[in-house]
Amino acid sequence: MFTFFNCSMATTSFQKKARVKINQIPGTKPSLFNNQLLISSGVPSLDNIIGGGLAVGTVCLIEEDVYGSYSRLLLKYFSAEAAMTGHSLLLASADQDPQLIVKELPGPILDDPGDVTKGNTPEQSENMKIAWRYQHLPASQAGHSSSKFGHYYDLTKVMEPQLISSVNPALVGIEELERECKECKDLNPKYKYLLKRIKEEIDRGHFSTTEQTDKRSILRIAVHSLGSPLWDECGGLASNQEDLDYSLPRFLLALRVLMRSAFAVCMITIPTHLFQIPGYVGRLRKMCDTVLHMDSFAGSDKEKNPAFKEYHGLFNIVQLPRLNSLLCHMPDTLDFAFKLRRKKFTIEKLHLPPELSETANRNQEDPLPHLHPSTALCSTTKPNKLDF
Amino acid sequence: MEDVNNVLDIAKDDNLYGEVITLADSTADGTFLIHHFLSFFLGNNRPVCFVSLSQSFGHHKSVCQKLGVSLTQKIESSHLNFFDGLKVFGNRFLDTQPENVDISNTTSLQGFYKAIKTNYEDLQDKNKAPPVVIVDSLNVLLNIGYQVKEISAFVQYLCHLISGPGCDARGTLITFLSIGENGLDEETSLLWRSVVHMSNMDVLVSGLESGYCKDVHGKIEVKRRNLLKKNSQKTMQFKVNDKSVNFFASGMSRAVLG
Repeated sequence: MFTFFNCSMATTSFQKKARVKINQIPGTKPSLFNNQLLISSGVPSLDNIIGGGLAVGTVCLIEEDVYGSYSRLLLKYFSAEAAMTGHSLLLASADQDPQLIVKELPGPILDDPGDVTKGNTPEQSENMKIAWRYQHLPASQAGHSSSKFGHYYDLTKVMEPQLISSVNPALVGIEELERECKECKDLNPKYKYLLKRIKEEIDRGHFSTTEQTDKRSILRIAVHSLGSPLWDECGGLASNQEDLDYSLPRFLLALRVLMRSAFAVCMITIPTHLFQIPGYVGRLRKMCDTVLHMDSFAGSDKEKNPAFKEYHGLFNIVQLPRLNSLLCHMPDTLDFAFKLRRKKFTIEKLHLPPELSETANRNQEDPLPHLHPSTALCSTTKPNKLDF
Repeated sequence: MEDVNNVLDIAKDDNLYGEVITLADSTADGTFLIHHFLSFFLGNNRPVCFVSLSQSFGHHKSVCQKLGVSLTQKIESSHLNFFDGLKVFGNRFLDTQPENVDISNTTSLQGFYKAIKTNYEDLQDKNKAPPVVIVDSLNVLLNIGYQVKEISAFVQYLCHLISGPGCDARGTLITFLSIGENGLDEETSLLWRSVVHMSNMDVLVSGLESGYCKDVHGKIEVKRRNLLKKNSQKTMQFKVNDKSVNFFASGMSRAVLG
């Protein structure tokens, strides 16, 4: 089904990715419907709902849940996926020490639990008759020799330090930000420094689309809680508390320029609930490509709502990117919910339980009252005329 | 795309000399209109001065290729001038030593206007037909810090630029603006209203009031201003496909009618 083309000098990462030999970059696959090169976000159920994965050369914005724990989890999955596919990683966080985040990456679930001992023991070859053609092939292993797209992780395990160090992640923490940022009148100095670091990393690893290299790989950039107060951001307001601070949109514009000409994907989480200026979050969304919104039930009265018994929060697709085509991926629905079990984190369509208990108070109001996210796809905040 | 032309009441060989068209989208994605106009004018051999502020060249090239127009060919034959505004404005925040300081000056859009004017006049010299200026999209300028007054003046300068001496020498101006959820972002709404005031035709693409739908992507409203005719407003629903857009009257989508 996929034909192979010769590798050619691409000027932007939006040249038809089919030009690069498809099996040359591990951990990527072409999109089924517009040939865009995709990488896994680390959560296979998320990959499914956004059209296969995150497109290379784009920025994915995750609007944080109020306590930030689930968005941090998504970033961890994104970073862990780097170790599994051999991609490079740049992780920046002002709120938490990135070393700590990296130490807590979830361990991968191996395909066949019996594979830790390599080679066919006589027992195994008796119990499992594998087709003779495949007998000489090595059993699948964890690590970046695996070319599978999307992996499952076990949150009760931590990723092995050797696996993490094989990625050699570049880490940017608050001390580095404070120490190295220089005065700048256009842009918040910390954002400017982050841009500089990203650019350095792209140049150092030869991820730019204008460079020809033998072994192409992808750079994953994970930025945790950008725009939190530790980044000297004041909810979009300048220091005089009246004018707007344009640093964040400017940062996003420059980031887009960097991403469009690099084999890289950037995942940022922003605590958008801290930005109270009307319309500001809408502007941030427009400056990013994929926008996802998480809303956890922790601490709200939705936790007790029997409709949400199984789930830990709501997950919405706010915006999907339109790349190289007239059409963006149009999922069946934009509203999902996520749940976190011991091992797996899944995002799925919100299924109401079949029977609510008779004693449960049936709330007359819509369980999703405020959740009409402004989307670039379609919806408005007007009350739903179909409500009875 | 023919269907889009029908909705906008534009004939296949219409010149649209001297017209100023404002395209906007609120809760649905209306950028297909830009590609429609690009392919329409380039297909009619009108020179186009395309100022792209929100997407890279590769993206536009791929979409136009699907619509049957090769942007690289048009650039080589001097029918298209592509101004990569994304790089110019973005690079200012990346480099410590920006190259095009005039163009990307924070307070004034004059340098930017002058660059576009040079490109426009260049195209005018090389071609018989008056050029078309397409700007995508104005809200990037607003987001990075330019004031509404400044951008509004910039559009006014562009309107003046395209109006030449005779009827046949007037160019066309098409601007695109993303206004977000209606009314939420005051400044963007203000900018939109002031730009619409200067235009002949105003197109607004928005999402359905009942929410997201996979089969009906949104609705499009076309208003022709400065007309004394009765039917100066049209509303239809649409669905975007890979190479075309289907329009239908509200509620008449094939998916709904079954």
